Amino acid sequence: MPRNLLLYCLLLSVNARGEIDTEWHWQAQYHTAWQRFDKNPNNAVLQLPEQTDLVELQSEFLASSGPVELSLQPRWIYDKERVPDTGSNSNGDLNLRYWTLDYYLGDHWFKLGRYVNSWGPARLLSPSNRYHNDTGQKNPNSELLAREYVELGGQLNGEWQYQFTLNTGAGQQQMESFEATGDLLFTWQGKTVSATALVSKPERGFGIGGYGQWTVNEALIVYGDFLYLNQGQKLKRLLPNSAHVAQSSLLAAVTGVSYTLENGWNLVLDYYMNQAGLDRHESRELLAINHDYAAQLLLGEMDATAGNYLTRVNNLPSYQLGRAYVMMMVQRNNIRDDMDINYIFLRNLNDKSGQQTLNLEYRWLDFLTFYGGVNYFSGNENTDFGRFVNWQLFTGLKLYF
Amino acid sequence: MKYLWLKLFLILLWSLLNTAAMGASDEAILRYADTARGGGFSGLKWLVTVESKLAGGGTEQFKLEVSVTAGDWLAEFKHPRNVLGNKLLQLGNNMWFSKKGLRKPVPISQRQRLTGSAANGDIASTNYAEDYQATRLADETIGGTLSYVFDLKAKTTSTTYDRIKYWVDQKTGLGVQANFYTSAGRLLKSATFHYGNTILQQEKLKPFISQMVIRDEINPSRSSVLEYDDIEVKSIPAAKLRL
Repeated sequence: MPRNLLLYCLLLSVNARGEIDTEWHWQAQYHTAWQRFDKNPNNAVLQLPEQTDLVELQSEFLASSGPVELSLQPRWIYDKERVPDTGSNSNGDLNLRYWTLDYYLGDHWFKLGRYVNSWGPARLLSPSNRYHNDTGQKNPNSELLAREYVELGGQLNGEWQYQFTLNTGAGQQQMESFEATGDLLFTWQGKTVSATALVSKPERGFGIGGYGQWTVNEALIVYGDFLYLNQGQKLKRLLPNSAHVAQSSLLAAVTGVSYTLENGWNLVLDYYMNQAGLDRHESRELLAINHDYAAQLLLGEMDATAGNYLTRVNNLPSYQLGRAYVMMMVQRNNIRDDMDINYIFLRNLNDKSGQQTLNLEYRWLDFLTFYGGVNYFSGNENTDFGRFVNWQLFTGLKLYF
Repeated sequence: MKYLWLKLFLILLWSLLNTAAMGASDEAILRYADTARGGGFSGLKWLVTVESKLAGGGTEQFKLEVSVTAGDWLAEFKHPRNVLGNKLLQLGNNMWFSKKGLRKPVPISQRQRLTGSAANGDIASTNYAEDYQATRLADETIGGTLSYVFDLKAKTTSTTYDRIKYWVDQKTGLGVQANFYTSAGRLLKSATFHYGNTILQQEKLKPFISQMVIRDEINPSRSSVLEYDDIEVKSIPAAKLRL
């Protein structure tokens, strides 16, 4: 499909304008990470690796001609994991990680492809975005997985924009089953305020939501993001024996504030509430089931139910998160003009567990960047953040050519 | 005494008319000066090279391709290679930054520093006539030419600077210098403008900015030079200004 698409696009472009602008960029990365998991006795759950090494080579090909723009991003990745008692395993893969095709017609645009379709101002989580809840901010090295989309959008007048998004494929995200779903967004763009309302059509029921930001002054930004989802039937929980009655609707919202000091340090505070999230007891029950199924996996007694369950645990939707989180981020770009620093403190307000992340990025040369950091998890073995890993160390380098 | 009220009324009327006339004239001066720095165009594209002298003595260079339409703009980083693909978007006074790779675009403030002494808001901050309330001060001679001097106060709190003292050459109508202050009156930066480029507007060749030199007045060892090249007056669809 992408190869045909490329040929079609190039042919169309040549016919339209007779000229094509192209760019080709390459990036190589080496990443290594170590982690300790004393809270996960004998590494019984999820069989976590003690050390992970990863080599990645990715390229980006851009072609544009007149109203057509094409982007292809193939990637080759090789990773090696060292798991205690079971030895090392490695895996290599070559795939088309992202591709997009954009077509502009006046003030309107059409886009299709495989990409991360993120929206909303929140740093911690974007409740209004059912496809990419995770903004990637709380773990700077985590990868946001792409899906396939078709989008249509445009400018209705000087202040109003519309966007229709249809999710046509699961892409790189593992899902038990997939159904196409859509969202219609209207954005009002004022001088200091940007606000979006959206109507969402999930697999079942409907959703309404919105997000917006207010640039209060040159240093202060206030923002929010929410989604009300009514699925018409009780949400399918992972907890068959839970005493907690599952709801048919959920309200999730995040509100945040960002302030930049005169010396350049930037402070961010996010509060996330999730009405249908798991409370402390449900969370504990979830972990108990998780341990049981993981034990079956270890003993080679894994059945389809257990397999599906673990897949779902590893792809938790927002209503399986906790009920309230707070995140504080302190960041500074261009320290000594070549280094970025980012510190994040994240806390589950229900079970008092937390995660702290310190990430440093150093641009040594125009084509070479080093990075490194640490994740520290607090809370006991029955908590959201404390259940598996005590700490992680990571470092790596990126080469651009 | 009989005509005192009439005299007072006439004096008041004259003052009001004079102020209104002066205001319109000041706005026209500022609008013309803004045009030569990219303001007021429905579509404009240029390449800006930002060369910064850093506190440690080194230098840093960025190249950004800037697309402007009706005061909103998108800047795409073109150099160096480790920031290639990063983007800055400003719609109204709201600003977003997207980093190359996987990160989601995040809202950022105009105060956040881009490089050296240049803030994000300096890349295409051109609408002084629209964003600031102007008060004309006494004329001054600067760089050998007589200049109008304006005290500009931000109409909203979301502009990059609260207050600007702005010098406009009386002969050419071009802004030649600006001092940028905090609301407390502290001098943050100063900038000088040079106009070596020309653009064709309404079938007339008009001078256009070629260089802006920004000096950090708090840390004088820092400075940034913004060079403007490859200027194209062209229609840019608003749909292109997105991340």
